[in-house]
Amino acid sequence: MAGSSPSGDEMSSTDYLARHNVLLYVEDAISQLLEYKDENAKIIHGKFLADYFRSVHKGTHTMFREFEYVRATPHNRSCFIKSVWSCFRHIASHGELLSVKEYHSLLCLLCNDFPLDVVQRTARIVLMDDALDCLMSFVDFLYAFQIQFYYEEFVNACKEAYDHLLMASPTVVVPSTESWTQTKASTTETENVARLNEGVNSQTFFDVMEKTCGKLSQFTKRPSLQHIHSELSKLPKVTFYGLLTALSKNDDINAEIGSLPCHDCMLDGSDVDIILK
Amino acid sequence: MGDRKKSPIEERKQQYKDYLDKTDVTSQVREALLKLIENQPKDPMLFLANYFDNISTSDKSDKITTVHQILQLTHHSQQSFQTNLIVAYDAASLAKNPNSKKASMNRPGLTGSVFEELLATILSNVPKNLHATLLERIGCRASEMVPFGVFRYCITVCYVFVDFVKLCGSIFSVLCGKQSGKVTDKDICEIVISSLKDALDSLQDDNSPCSILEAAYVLRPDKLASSLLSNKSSKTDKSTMNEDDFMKEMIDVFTSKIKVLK
Repeated sequence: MAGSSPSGDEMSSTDYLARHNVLLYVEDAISQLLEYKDENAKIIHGKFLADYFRSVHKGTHTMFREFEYVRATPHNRSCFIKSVWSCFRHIASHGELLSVKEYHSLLCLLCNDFPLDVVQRTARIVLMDDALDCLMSFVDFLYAFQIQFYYEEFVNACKEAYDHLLMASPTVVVPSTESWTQTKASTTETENVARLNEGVNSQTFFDVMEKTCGKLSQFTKRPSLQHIHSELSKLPKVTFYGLLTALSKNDDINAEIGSLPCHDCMLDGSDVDIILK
Repeated sequence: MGDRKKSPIEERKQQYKDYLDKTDVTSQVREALLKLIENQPKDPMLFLANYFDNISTSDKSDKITTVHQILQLTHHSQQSFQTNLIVAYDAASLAKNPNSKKASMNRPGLTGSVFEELLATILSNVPKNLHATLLERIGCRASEMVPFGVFRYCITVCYVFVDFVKLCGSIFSVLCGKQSGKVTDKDICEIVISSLKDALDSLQDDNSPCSILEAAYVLRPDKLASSLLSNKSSKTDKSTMNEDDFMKEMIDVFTSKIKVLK
């Protein structure tokens, strides 16, 4: 057991506990212990708890757990994504294409009450909200799944921002921004449909999104604004799913999350490497 | 007071609560959380795993292991290390057998032999030849009693020393650069060693923050870089230095600054 290395200032106890979701893990540890002792008479409590916390530390704790637990913390989500990759990566190397239902079945092998809804939303990202019964490659699916699942709250905030911009009158005035677009009146139906397909002005979208994301709790994970901005600045106009697809393909954001290798390295290494990393 | 009929769920909850209390899980978890908040480690899960590991083996462990575990809870630069030092000292000073009638067994206090063993445990990851000189300076005789001030000083020195050894190792690999084998230019090493010596020599005995800053200023990156570069031009004979010698010399500079207590 090594002493920890020097770290920055100490934060308040409540902040520290909340940042690391300590109470959640302790509660779950105790529930697991009580469940276990009902089935096994002989139990060494200290060892059981030590094993539990060690598995959380190593990242093996989300396998075969219920969805509520898997979704509960950013750490759990990223470990689950990593397990999906390590368990099913052979699909990528075979180049098979699978449907939404098939990916859902795969996820249910690791988490038996995983909701279909999340998988469907992932499919929307991969397929750009079009032809949703199309087949998808494992690699595309996995990176889109990462964005949808790990950044769930952020994605919802993004959608809120995007819908707000779409439904608002053509003169979109976003207070306290420096560059807002003021287009002429007359909202005809064809114009609306066109806007749905073309998307919204990227800069405006970024500004509104920044505000909506500001309302999220400080402990909710989101991609850093710098990377979002770099994707948005590539095109003058962007659709919601266009942005999400771009984010899923962005290597910087992938590196920030830290569960999956970079796109080019997806098929490197053997299974042993993944487990040891 | 009438008997309130509890619902099955409430009964179950009460059962579990009693079970946890009876098996000491409640108090253990409470202790663990208190220690966690006190020490605020970067990785709380690993901290808790190690904490419960130690609990389950604590019946078999001796005084030295327990004290060592307390000292390992946090890095020596943290505020909570000072608290842990006090707790560790108390644990180390426990009488061997408080109920014994023999005077030598029930007297509390930190004996020299326990102290020496503790130091050896802390330094166990450092090769013996490297930490021998340090132990010569801060060790003590088996029969002596160790007061808290001395305890605090020596333990802190040991931990700083362990960090220092690690640092020297990485400095040496940096100096080696891409060369294979564990040797590098002797002159470069000498410059690094003498820079450290100069910095420590300039440290006045009063240990005021000002003098510490001045000493650190001697070691600033650009000064080190310029002295290394100026050496590069005047090279006729390439003699090399290996890692052991480098480490030994750096450690000698370090230990020369440690107060001799023996």
